[in-house]
Amino acid sequence: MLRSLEVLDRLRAIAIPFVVIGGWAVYLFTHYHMSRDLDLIMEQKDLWKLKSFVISQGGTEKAPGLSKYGYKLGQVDMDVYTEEKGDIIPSPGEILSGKRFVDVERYRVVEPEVLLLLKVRAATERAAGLKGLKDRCDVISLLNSGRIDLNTFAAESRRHAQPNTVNEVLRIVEMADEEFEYVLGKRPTPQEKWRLKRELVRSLRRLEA
Amino acid sequence: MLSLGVGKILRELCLLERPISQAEIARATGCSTSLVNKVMATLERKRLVHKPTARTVAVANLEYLLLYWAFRRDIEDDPRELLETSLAAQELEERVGRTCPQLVFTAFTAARLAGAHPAPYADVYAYDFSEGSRDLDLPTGRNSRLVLLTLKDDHLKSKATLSSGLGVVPTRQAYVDLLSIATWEAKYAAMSLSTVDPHLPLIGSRSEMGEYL
Repeated sequence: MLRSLEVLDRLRAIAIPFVVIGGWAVYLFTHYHMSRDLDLIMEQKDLWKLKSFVISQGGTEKAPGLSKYGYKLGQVDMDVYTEEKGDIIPSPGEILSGKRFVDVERYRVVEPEVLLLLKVRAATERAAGLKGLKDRCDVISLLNSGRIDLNTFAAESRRHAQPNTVNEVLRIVEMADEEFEYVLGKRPTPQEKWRLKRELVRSLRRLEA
Repeated sequence: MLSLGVGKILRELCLLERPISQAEIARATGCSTSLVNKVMATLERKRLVHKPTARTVAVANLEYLLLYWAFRRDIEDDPRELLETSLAAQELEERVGRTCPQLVFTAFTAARLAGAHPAPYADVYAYDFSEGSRDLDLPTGRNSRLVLLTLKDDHLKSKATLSSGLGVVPTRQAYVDLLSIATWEAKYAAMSLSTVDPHLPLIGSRSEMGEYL
């Protein structure tokens, strides 16, 4: 059965152009938890390449939703957003045309600040359940990775008319408990947790001010 | 967009079934050895080719290499001229083949001649290297279309075979061309070609193909 890293590797090998977002993008920046599913952005004109590849490998195409295309290959579910179908902020078109991505380990990955914006929105929209927990862990691990320029992030939030995003991040950090355990990969001592939380909250409060 | 040299090298590799030396590829394609080495290094990194001996390369995964070639090739963006006619597709092929023997047919023609029984189609694709086929006197109508791809890369005709009086590209080349054409007819034709050459990846489910297989 194909796993998501293998699928990503094969897509790259056969020259299908894509930008990684979602849990895998967080992994590539932080090397925290790998993700089971793949979230990709690609140009509508290149979608046939992905579809041909998936089907040639025995995968299936899901009935397209209103906001994304879906494919399943082996154990891997792929959500694909294009400039024509992608209900995310910033829009796939903006990410592609504005070249809002960077090269990480030979993959094109959405910029960390844009990724944080996407993740915070996901964490807010699906707060309950395991996916919500994973989203909050992703937010904290991104903040903890040192890859985020908070000023750029705040500017990005304002530019996309999401001024509450900084408050949302602050709320996620302040409420976090078991998330730190998943992010650090061990049960932190109360002091460790407090110190980490304090540093993140301080930098976020400075932004808020 | 695939550069001419890289296109030639990929084509050479995909059509061959034996290990080949890099010098041989350079000779066959007319590319410099340094370009061949560079392309091989990329393909080796992608695990699409491997080196059975120090001097030769062999295709590691032909299916993937064909997809790689098709995805990089993307003939949808190539310059083309469309001529609509009242002739049926096969009639159109015959007429055009007789009038312009310099044309090299691909896609549907190759699929049909390979005995792959492609889906009913209306587009006949041909490479027009000399751009001398503009004066074709075809009866007007909307029964079928001649799609003339006006390309400079005339290496595409080097391995064309004469079949039913038409110059036709090899099956694998036609498959790659078909994959690059984003219509359902092209898709069915590519799928039917997969039944002729087992190395060609089947890009649709057999149930989807239904009567065409």
